[in-house]
Amino acid sequence: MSTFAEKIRETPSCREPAYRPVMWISDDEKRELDKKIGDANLYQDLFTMREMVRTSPKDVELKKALVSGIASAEFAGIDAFSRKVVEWQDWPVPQTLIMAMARQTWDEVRHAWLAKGLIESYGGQIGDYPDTLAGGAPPPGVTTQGPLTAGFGAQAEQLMREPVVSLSMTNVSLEGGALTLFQETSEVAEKIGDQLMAHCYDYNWADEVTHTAIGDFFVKQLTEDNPEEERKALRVHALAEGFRARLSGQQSEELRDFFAEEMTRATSALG
Amino acid sequence: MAVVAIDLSKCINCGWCRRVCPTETIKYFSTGHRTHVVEPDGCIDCGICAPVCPVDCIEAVPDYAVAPDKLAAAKDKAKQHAGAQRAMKLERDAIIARTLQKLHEGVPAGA
Repeated sequence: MSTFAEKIRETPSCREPAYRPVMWISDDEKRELDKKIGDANLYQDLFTMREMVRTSPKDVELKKALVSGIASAEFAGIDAFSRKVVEWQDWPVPQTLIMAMARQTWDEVRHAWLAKGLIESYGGQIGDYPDTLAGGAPPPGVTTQGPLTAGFGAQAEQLMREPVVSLSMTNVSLEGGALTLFQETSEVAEKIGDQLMAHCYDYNWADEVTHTAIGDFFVKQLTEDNPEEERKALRVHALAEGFRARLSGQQSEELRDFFAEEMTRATSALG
Repeated sequence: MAVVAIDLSKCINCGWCRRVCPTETIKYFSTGHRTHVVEPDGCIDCGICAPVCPVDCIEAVPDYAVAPDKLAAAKDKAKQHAGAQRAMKLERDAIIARTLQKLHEGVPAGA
Protein backbone atom coordinates (compact mmCIF):
# COMPACT_ATOMS: atom_id res chain seq x y z
CA MET A 1 0.00 0.00 0.00
CA SER A 2 1.23 3.49 -0.78
CA THR A 3 2.38 5.70 2.07
CA PHE A 4 -0.31 8.21 1.24
CA ALA A 5 -3.05 5.55 1.31
CA GLU A 6 -1.75 4.29 4.65
CA LYS A 7 -1.81 7.81 6.04
CA ILE A 8 -5.36 8.36 4.79
CA ARG A 9 -6.51 5.07 6.29
CA GLU A 10 -5.16 6.08 9.68
CA THR A 11 -6.73 9.53 9.50
CA PRO A 12 -10.11 9.54 11.25
CA SER A 13 -13.18 11.05 9.62
CA CYS A 14 -13.67 14.60 10.83
CA ARG A 15 -15.77 17.62 9.99
CA GLU A 16 -16.40 21.18 11.13
CA PRO A 17 -18.79 21.24 12.94
CA ALA A 18 -17.82 17.80 14.19
CA TYR A 19 -19.76 14.64 13.29
CA ARG A 20 -22.47 14.04 15.86
CA PRO A 21 -24.40 10.82 15.01
CA VAL A 22 -27.84 10.90 16.58
CA MET A 23 -27.47 7.41 18.01
CA TRP A 24 -24.70 8.67 20.30
CA ILE A 25 -25.98 12.09 21.41
CA SER A 26 -26.51 12.82 25.09
CA ASP A 27 -29.86 12.53 26.88
CA ASP A 28 -29.93 16.32 27.21
CA GLU A 29 -29.58 16.73 23.47
CA LYS A 30 -32.27 14.09 22.88
CA ARG A 31 -34.61 16.15 25.03
CA GLU A 32 -33.75 19.24 22.96
CA LEU A 33 -34.55 17.26 19.83
CA ASP A 34 -37.87 16.16 21.39
CA LYS A 35 -38.76 19.83 21.87
CA LYS A 36 -37.87 20.77 18.31
CA ILE A 37 -39.53 17.94 16.36
CA GLY A 38 -41.86 16.29 18.85
CA ASP A 39 -40.04 12.97 19.18
CA ALA A 40 -36.28 12.45 18.85
CA ASN A 41 -36.85 8.79 18.00
CA LEU A 42 -38.43 9.75 14.67
CA TYR A 43 -35.43 11.77 13.56
CA GLN A 44 -33.51 8.83 12.08
CA ASP A 45 -36.43 7.84 9.86
CA LEU A 46 -36.21 10.29 6.98
CA PHE A 47 -39.38 8.94 5.40
CA THR A 48 -41.38 9.78 8.52
CA MET A 49 -39.65 13.16 8.81
CA ARG A 50 -40.65 13.91 5.23
CA GLU A 51 -44.27 13.00 5.94
CA MET A 52 -44.18 15.30 8.96
CA VAL A 53 -43.04 18.14 6.70
CA ARG A 54 -45.88 17.34 4.30
CA THR A 55 -48.41 17.34 7.14
CA SER A 56 -47.07 20.47 8.83
CA PRO A 57 -45.47 22.54 6.03
CA LYS A 58 -45.23 25.77 8.01
CA ASP A 59 -43.06 24.23 10.73
CA VAL A 60 -39.61 25.37 9.64
CA GLU A 61 -37.85 23.25 12.30
CA LEU A 62 -39.19 20.09 10.66
CA LYS A 63 -37.80 21.23 7.32
CA LYS A 64 -34.42 21.98 8.89
CA ALA A 65 -34.43 18.54 10.52
CA LEU A 66 -35.32 16.75 7.28
CA VAL A 67 -32.66 18.53 5.23
CA SER A 68 -30.05 18.14 8.01
CA GLY A 69 -30.69 14.39 8.12
CA ILE A 70 -30.13 14.05 4.37
CA ALA A 71 -27.14 16.43 4.47
CA SER A 72 -25.37 14.18 6.98
CA ALA A 73 -25.33 11.44 4.33
CA GLU A 74 -23.77 13.85 1.85
CA PHE A 75 -20.95 14.65 4.26
CA ALA A 76 -20.41 10.94 4.93
CA GLY A 77 -20.35 10.46 1.15
CA ILE A 78 -17.63 13.08 0.65
CA ASP A 79 -15.51 11.29 3.25
CA ALA A 80 -16.15 7.79 1.91
CA PHE A 81 -15.71 8.45 -1.81
CA SER A 82 -12.63 10.61 -1.45
CA ARG A 83 -10.98 7.81 0.54
CA LYS A 84 -11.73 5.37 -2.27
CA VAL A 85 -9.95 7.66 -4.74
CA VAL A 86 -6.77 7.13 -2.72
CA GLU A 87 -7.18 3.59 -1.39
CA TRP A 88 -8.32 1.97 -4.63
CA GLN A 89 -5.15 2.98 -6.40
CA ASP A 90 -3.69 -0.11 -4.67
CA TRP A 91 -6.34 -2.39 -6.18
CA PRO A 92 -6.35 -3.91 -9.67
CA VAL A 93 -9.14 -1.64 -10.88
CA PRO A 94 -9.40 0.49 -14.02
CA GLN A 95 -8.24 4.09 -13.73
CA THR A 96 -11.68 5.11 -15.01
CA LEU A 97 -13.17 3.76 -11.76
CA ILE A 98 -10.80 5.92 -9.71
CA MET A 99 -11.84 8.92 -11.80
CA ALA A 100 -15.51 8.01 -11.34
CA MET A 101 -15.00 8.04 -7.56
CA ALA A 102 -13.35 11.47 -7.84
CA ARG A 103 -16.34 12.73 -9.82
CA GLN A 104 -18.69 11.23 -7.25
CA THR A 105 -16.82 12.97 -4.42
CA TRP A 106 -17.37 16.27 -6.20
CA ASP A 107 -21.06 15.45 -6.68
CA GLU A 108 -21.42 14.85 -2.94
CA VAL A 109 -19.67 18.16 -2.25
CA ARG A 110 -22.23 19.93 -4.44
CA HIS A 111 -25.07 18.13 -2.65
CA ALA A 112 -23.65 19.26 0.69
CA TRP A 113 -23.47 22.85 -0.58
CA LEU A 114 -27.08 22.65 -1.75
CA ALA A 115 -28.15 21.28 1.64
CA LYS A 116 -26.20 23.99 3.44
CA GLY A 117 -27.86 26.70 1.33
CA LEU A 118 -31.29 25.17 1.85
CA ILE A 119 -30.87 24.97 5.64
CA GLU A 120 -29.61 28.56 5.69
CA SER A 121 -32.67 29.64 3.68
CA TYR A 122 -34.73 28.30 6.61
CA GLY A 123 -32.66 30.36 9.06
CA GLY A 124 -30.59 27.45 10.32
CA GLN A 125 -27.11 26.06 9.81
CA ILE A 126 -25.28 22.78 9.50
CA GLY A 127 -24.85 21.37 13.02
CA ASP A 128 -28.21 22.58 14.37
CA TYR A 129 -29.31 18.95 14.16
CA PRO A 130 -27.27 15.81 14.77
CA ASP A 131 -26.29 13.49 11.92
CA THR A 132 -28.69 10.68 11.09
CA LEU A 133 -26.08 8.43 9.55
CA ALA A 134 -22.62 7.21 10.41
CA GLY A 135 -19.74 9.61 10.27
CA GLY A 136 -16.91 9.95 12.70
CA ALA A 137 -15.87 7.35 15.20
CA PRO A 138 -18.29 6.00 17.82
CA PRO A 139 -17.59 6.73 21.48
CA PRO A 140 -15.27 4.22 23.23
CA GLY A 141 -16.92 0.86 23.83
CA VAL A 142 -19.59 1.35 21.15
CA THR A 143 -19.62 -1.06 18.25
CA THR A 144 -21.66 -0.30 15.16
CA GLN A 145 -24.01 -2.92 13.78
CA GLY A 146 -24.63 -1.97 10.18
CA PRO A 147 -25.76 -4.38 7.48
CA LEU A 148 -22.28 -5.51 6.58
CA THR A 149 -21.30 -6.11 10.21
CA ALA A 150 -24.49 -8.13 10.66
CA GLY A 151 -23.66 -10.30 7.66
CA PHE A 152 -19.89 -10.60 7.82
CA GLY A 153 -19.01 -9.90 11.46
CA ALA A 154 -15.41 -8.95 12.13
CA GLN A 155 -14.52 -9.22 8.42
CA ALA A 156 -16.88 -6.34 7.54
CA GLU A 157 -14.38 -3.52 7.77
CA GLN A 158 -11.84 -5.28 5.58
CA LEU A 159 -14.53 -6.34 3.11
CA MET A 160 -15.85 -2.81 2.73
CA ARG A 161 -12.47 -1.81 1.31
CA GLU A 162 -12.98 -4.18 -1.62
CA PRO A 163 -14.23 -2.33 -4.69
CA VAL A 164 -16.87 -4.93 -5.64
CA VAL A 165 -18.31 -4.99 -2.10
CA SER A 166 -18.20 -1.24 -1.65
CA LEU A 167 -19.71 -0.47 -5.06
CA SER A 168 -22.48 -3.02 -4.64
CA MET A 169 -23.30 -1.77 -1.14
CA THR A 170 -22.97 1.97 -1.60
CA ASN A 171 -23.46 2.82 -5.25
CA VAL A 172 -25.96 0.21 -6.34
CA SER A 173 -27.97 -0.57 -3.21
CA LEU A 174 -27.83 2.60 -1.09
CA GLU A 175 -27.73 5.14 -3.92
CA GLY A 176 -30.35 3.08 -5.79
CA GLY A 177 -32.55 3.31 -2.70
CA ALA A 178 -31.86 7.03 -2.36
CA LEU A 179 -33.57 7.57 -5.72
CA THR A 180 -36.89 6.89 -4.03
CA LEU A 181 -36.11 9.25 -1.14
CA PHE A 182 -35.11 12.14 -3.40
CA GLN A 183 -37.96 11.71 -5.87
CA GLU A 184 -40.58 11.54 -3.12
CA THR A 185 -39.02 14.42 -1.17
CA SER A 186 -39.10 16.54 -4.30
CA GLU A 187 -42.77 15.64 -4.79
CA VAL A 188 -43.58 16.64 -1.19
CA ALA A 189 -41.68 19.91 -1.68
CA GLU A 190 -43.71 20.65 -4.84
CA LYS A 191 -46.89 19.86 -2.99
CA ILE A 192 -46.16 22.27 -0.14
CA GLY A 193 -44.92 24.96 -2.55
CA ASP A 194 -41.25 24.83 -1.52
CA GLN A 195 -39.67 25.29 -4.95
CA LEU A 196 -36.13 25.60 -3.62
CA MET A 197 -36.34 22.27 -1.80
CA ALA A 198 -37.88 20.62 -4.86
CA HIS A 199 -35.14 21.98 -7.10
CA CYS A 200 -32.35 20.78 -4.76
CA TYR A 201 -33.65 17.23 -4.58
CA ASP A 202 -34.36 17.03 -8.30
CA TYR A 203 -30.70 17.90 -8.78
CA ASN A 204 -29.55 15.28 -6.26
CA TRP A 205 -31.83 12.68 -7.83
CA ALA A 206 -30.24 13.12 -11.24
CA ASP A 207 -26.78 12.57 -9.73
CA GLU A 208 -27.93 9.44 -7.89
CA VAL A 209 -29.02 7.89 -11.18
CA THR A 210 -25.50 8.42 -12.46
CA HIS A 211 -23.95 7.04 -9.26
CA THR A 212 -26.09 3.91 -9.43
CA ALA A 213 -25.19 3.48 -13.10
CA ILE A 214 -21.48 3.95 -12.31
CA GLY A 215 -21.68 1.32 -9.55
CA ASP A 216 -23.58 -1.17 -11.67
CA PHE A 217 -21.27 -0.70 -14.65
CA PHE A 218 -18.10 -1.34 -12.64
CA VAL A 219 -19.54 -4.20 -10.58
CA LYS A 220 -20.42 -5.88 -13.88
CA GLN A 221 -16.94 -5.22 -15.21
CA LEU A 222 -15.12 -6.40 -12.07
CA THR A 223 -17.22 -9.57 -11.68
CA GLU A 224 -17.24 -10.60 -15.32
CA ASP A 225 -16.54 -14.33 -15.68
CA ASN A 226 -16.22 -14.60 -11.91
CA PRO A 227 -19.40 -16.16 -10.45
CA GLU A 228 -18.03 -16.10 -6.89
CA GLU A 229 -17.43 -12.36 -7.02
CA GLU A 230 -20.82 -11.80 -8.63
CA ARG A 231 -22.45 -13.82 -5.83
CA LYS A 232 -20.58 -11.73 -3.28
CA ALA A 233 -21.90 -8.54 -4.89
CA LEU A 234 -25.42 -9.95 -4.78
CA ARG A 235 -25.00 -11.00 -1.13
CA VAL A 236 -23.86 -7.52 -0.13
CA HIS A 237 -26.75 -5.95 -2.03
CA ALA A 238 -29.15 -8.34 -0.25
CA LEU A 239 -27.71 -7.44 3.16
CA ALA A 240 -28.16 -3.72 2.53
CA GLU A 241 -31.64 -4.24 1.16
CA GLY A 242 -32.57 -6.58 4.02
CA PHE A 243 -31.40 -3.99 6.54
CA ARG A 244 -33.53 -1.31 4.90
CA ALA A 245 -36.49 -3.68 4.52
CA ARG A 246 -36.41 -4.53 8.22
CA LEU A 247 -36.46 -0.83 9.08
CA SER A 248 -39.50 -0.28 6.90
CA GLY A 249 -41.15 -3.57 7.88
CA GLN A 250 -41.20 -4.78 4.29
CA GLN A 251 -39.14 -7.78 3.31
CA SER A 252 -39.97 -9.60 0.09
CA GLU A 253 -40.38 -13.36 -0.16
CA GLU A 254 -37.51 -13.37 -2.64
CA LEU A 255 -35.16 -11.73 -0.15
CA ARG A 256 -36.18 -14.15 2.61
CA ASP A 257 -35.57 -17.08 0.23
CA PHE A 258 -32.18 -15.63 -0.70
CA PHE A 259 -31.07 -15.47 2.93
CA ALA A 260 -32.35 -19.02 3.50
CA GLU A 261 -30.31 -20.21 0.52
CA GLU A 262 -27.27 -18.37 1.82
CA MET A 263 -27.69 -20.11 5.17
CA THR A 264 -27.88 -23.50 3.42
CA ARG A 265 -24.72 -22.72 1.44
CA ALA A 266 -22.88 -21.65 4.57
CA THR A 267 -23.96 -24.78 6.43
CA SER A 268 -22.86 -27.01 3.53
CA ALA A 269 -19.51 -25.26 3.39
CA LEU A 270 -18.99 -26.07 7.05
CA GLY A 271 -19.56 -29.74 6.18
CA MET B 1 -53.60 -7.53 -21.53
CA ALA B 2 -49.88 -6.84 -21.61
CA VAL B 3 -47.04 -7.77 -19.30
CA VAL B 4 -43.72 -5.97 -18.97
CA ALA B 5 -40.11 -6.87 -19.68
CA ILE B 6 -36.83 -5.22 -18.68
CA ASP B 7 -34.23 -4.26 -21.25
CA LEU B 8 -31.10 -5.57 -19.52
CA SER B 9 -28.80 -3.57 -21.75
CA LYS B 10 -30.15 -0.37 -20.14
CA CYS B 11 -30.99 -1.53 -16.60
CA ILE B 12 -28.75 -0.13 -13.83
CA ASN B 13 -30.09 -2.48 -11.11
CA CYS B 14 -31.33 0.33 -8.87
CA GLY B 15 -34.16 -2.01 -7.88
CA TRP B 16 -36.84 0.65 -7.73
CA CYS B 17 -39.21 -1.34 -9.98
CA ARG B 18 -38.75 -4.44 -7.83
CA ARG B 19 -39.44 -2.55 -4.62
CA VAL B 20 -42.71 -1.08 -5.93
CA CYS B 21 -44.00 -4.21 -7.69
CA PRO B 22 -47.19 -5.21 -5.81
CA THR B 23 -46.91 -8.87 -6.84
CA GLU B 24 -43.14 -9.22 -6.25
CA THR B 25 -42.81 -10.60 -9.75
CA ILE B 26 -39.69 -8.60 -10.61
CA LYS B 27 -36.86 -10.87 -9.50
CA TYR B 28 -33.22 -10.10 -8.78
CA PHE B 29 -31.79 -12.05 -5.86
CA SER B 30 -33.13 -15.39 -7.13
CA THR B 31 -31.85 -15.01 -10.68
CA GLY B 32 -28.35 -16.13 -9.75
CA HIS B 33 -26.99 -13.08 -11.55
CA ARG B 34 -27.13 -9.36 -11.02
CA THR B 35 -30.05 -8.92 -13.38
CA HIS B 36 -33.61 -7.73 -12.84
CA VAL B 37 -36.04 -10.03 -14.60
CA VAL B 38 -39.83 -9.98 -14.79
CA GLU B 39 -41.60 -13.29 -14.26
CA PRO B 40 -44.44 -12.57 -16.68
CA ASP B 41 -46.96 -14.94 -15.10
CA GLY B 42 -47.02 -12.78 -11.98
CA CYS B 43 -47.51 -9.50 -13.86
CA ILE B 44 -50.95 -7.88 -13.60
CA ASP B 45 -50.16 -4.97 -15.95
CA CYS B 46 -50.68 -2.47 -13.13
CA GLY B 47 -48.29 0.05 -14.70
CA ILE B 48 -46.54 0.96 -11.44
CA CYS B 49 -43.01 -0.11 -12.34
CA ALA B 50 -42.42 1.56 -15.71
CA PRO B 51 -42.93 5.19 -14.61
CA VAL B 52 -40.43 4.91 -11.74
CA CYS B 53 -37.61 3.47 -13.86
CA PRO B 54 -34.94 6.20 -14.05
CA VAL B 55 -33.53 4.88 -17.32
CA ASP B 56 -36.81 3.96 -19.05
CA CYS B 57 -35.88 0.34 -19.59
CA ILE B 58 -39.26 -1.28 -18.82
CA GLU B 59 -41.34 -2.01 -21.85
CA ALA B 60 -44.71 -3.60 -22.51
CA VAL B 61 -44.93 -7.03 -24.09
CA PRO B 62 -48.42 -6.71 -25.55
CA ASP B 63 -49.04 -10.18 -26.86
CA TYR B 64 -48.31 -12.23 -23.72
CA ALA B 65 -51.35 -13.92 -22.19
CA VAL B 66 -51.13 -14.85 -18.51
CA ALA B 67 -53.17 -17.95 -17.64
CA PRO B 68 -56.39 -17.01 -15.76
CA ASP B 69 -55.49 -18.96 -12.59
CA LYS B 70 -52.04 -17.35 -12.42
CA LEU B 71 -53.49 -13.92 -13.04
CA ALA B 72 -56.02 -14.45 -10.24
CA ALA B 73 -53.26 -15.55 -7.87
CA ALA B 74 -51.16 -12.51 -8.79
CA LYS B 75 -54.10 -10.17 -8.23
CA ASP B 76 -54.70 -11.73 -4.81
CA LYS B 77 -51.06 -11.05 -3.94
CA ALA B 78 -51.43 -7.46 -5.09
CA LYS B 79 -54.49 -7.06 -2.85
CA GLN B 80 -52.54 -8.36 0.14
CA HIS B 81 -49.68 -6.00 -0.72
CA ALA B 82 -52.05 -3.05 -0.94
CA GLY B 83 -53.60 -4.00 2.41
CA ALA B 84 -50.20 -4.21 4.09
CA GLN B 85 -49.13 -0.89 2.58
CA ARG B 86 -52.32 0.77 3.75
CA ALA B 87 -51.91 -0.63 7.28
CA MET B 88 -48.35 0.69 7.41
CA LYS B 89 -49.44 4.10 6.14
CA LEU B 90 -52.22 4.33 8.72
CA GLU B 91 -49.79 3.37 11.46
CA ARG B 92 -47.27 5.98 10.31
CA ASP B 93 -49.99 8.64 9.93
CA ALA B 94 -51.13 7.95 13.50
CA ILE B 95 -47.57 8.34 14.82
CA ILE B 96 -47.15 11.58 12.90
CA ALA B 97 -50.50 12.96 14.08
CA ARG B 98 -49.66 12.14 17.71
CA THR B 99 -46.20 13.70 17.41
CA LEU B 100 -47.41 16.87 15.74
CA GLN B 101 -50.22 17.21 18.23
CA LYS B 102 -47.70 16.98 21.05
CA LEU B 103 -45.33 19.36 19.28
CA HIS B 104 -47.88 22.02 18.57
CA GLU B 105 -49.68 21.64 21.88
CA GLY B 106 -53.23 21.01 20.98
CA VAL B 107 -53.12 22.14 17.38
CA PRO B 108 -54.75 19.33 15.37
CA ALA B 109 -52.32 17.55 13.02
CA GLY B 110 -52.68 18.69 9.44
CA ALA B 111 -53.58 22.26 10.37
